[in-house]
Amino acid sequence: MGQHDDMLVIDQVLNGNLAAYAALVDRYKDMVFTLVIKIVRNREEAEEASQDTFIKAFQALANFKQEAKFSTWLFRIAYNTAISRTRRKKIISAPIDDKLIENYSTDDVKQQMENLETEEKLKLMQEVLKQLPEDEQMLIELFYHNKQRVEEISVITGLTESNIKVKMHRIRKKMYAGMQEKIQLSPA
Amino acid sequence: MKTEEMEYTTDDHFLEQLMDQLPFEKAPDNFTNGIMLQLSAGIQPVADTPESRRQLLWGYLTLALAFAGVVLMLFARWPFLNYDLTLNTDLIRTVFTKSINLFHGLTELMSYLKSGSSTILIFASVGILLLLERILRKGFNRNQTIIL
Repeated sequence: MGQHDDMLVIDQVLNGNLAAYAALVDRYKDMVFTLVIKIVRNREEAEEASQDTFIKAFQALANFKQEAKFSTWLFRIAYNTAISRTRRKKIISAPIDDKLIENYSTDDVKQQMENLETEEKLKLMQEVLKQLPEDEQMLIELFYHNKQRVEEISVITGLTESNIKVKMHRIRKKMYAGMQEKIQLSPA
Repeated sequence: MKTEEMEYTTDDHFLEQLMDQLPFEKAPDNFTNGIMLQLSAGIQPVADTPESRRQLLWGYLTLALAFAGVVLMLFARWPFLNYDLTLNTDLIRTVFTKSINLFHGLTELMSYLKSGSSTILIFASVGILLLLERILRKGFNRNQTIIL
């Protein structure tokens, strides 16, 4: 189901077919839930925030302009909903060592990662992602996982495109450094 | 390739491939049903009509008035009210004089309140805010507007 299909469903919902909205929820629930949990870092809270997101989206559906993709618009609501919840409590993560960020070899990390089994590799990636602050996890999620372009992420987060590019560059460095750190710590 | 040599770009095929292999977090099983149940309880899409925009504008205006009321209460004597405005045009002078007189009247009232009991001042502020809040609520309830 693509953007065109989304629009068809939206038209049906706006014409009174409430049940059609379930198709949109089913399509985006995991993406929204994954994005939100990166920000709030708690399953129960993520579930509530994701539900809020879909309710808000439903109520505002008539205001959805087709200038952006439905997913971009929905992620913006999810982002705002999740961020408003994190303001209530500051989440602290164990940061990646700054020294490592400036001292690693991308080629070495890639090579060492290639030597790992898929399962190990993914586990390591998940651990590295958890070490990033929530805003950085969310940017990575939107860009690589949810396939949002930089200009779309700008719409979702309100950050400028150049700011996003700078942040992404920094996050990538952190991720490589994090992978390096994990590989060094893991038993040979 | 060393860190310093990394190309300044957001694209990274290696990371993209790794991220693609990571599964999405699964929303709970009854997630969609939970939402549909809430929706069937009577939540409706709200259109952003000119009427709702007018109401929102009206709401902001009332809020601004309420804020101005509080500022007036807190700073009863505004320095600029004491300036001697000398104007060449009679009409403008008249309008300004009347406005200044009005402000002077308010200032005197505020000064009176300020020199009086602070309890009265607090009650007066709360009274004005409550009154404005009631007006504001009435305006908003007439047509709910969603602010994302």
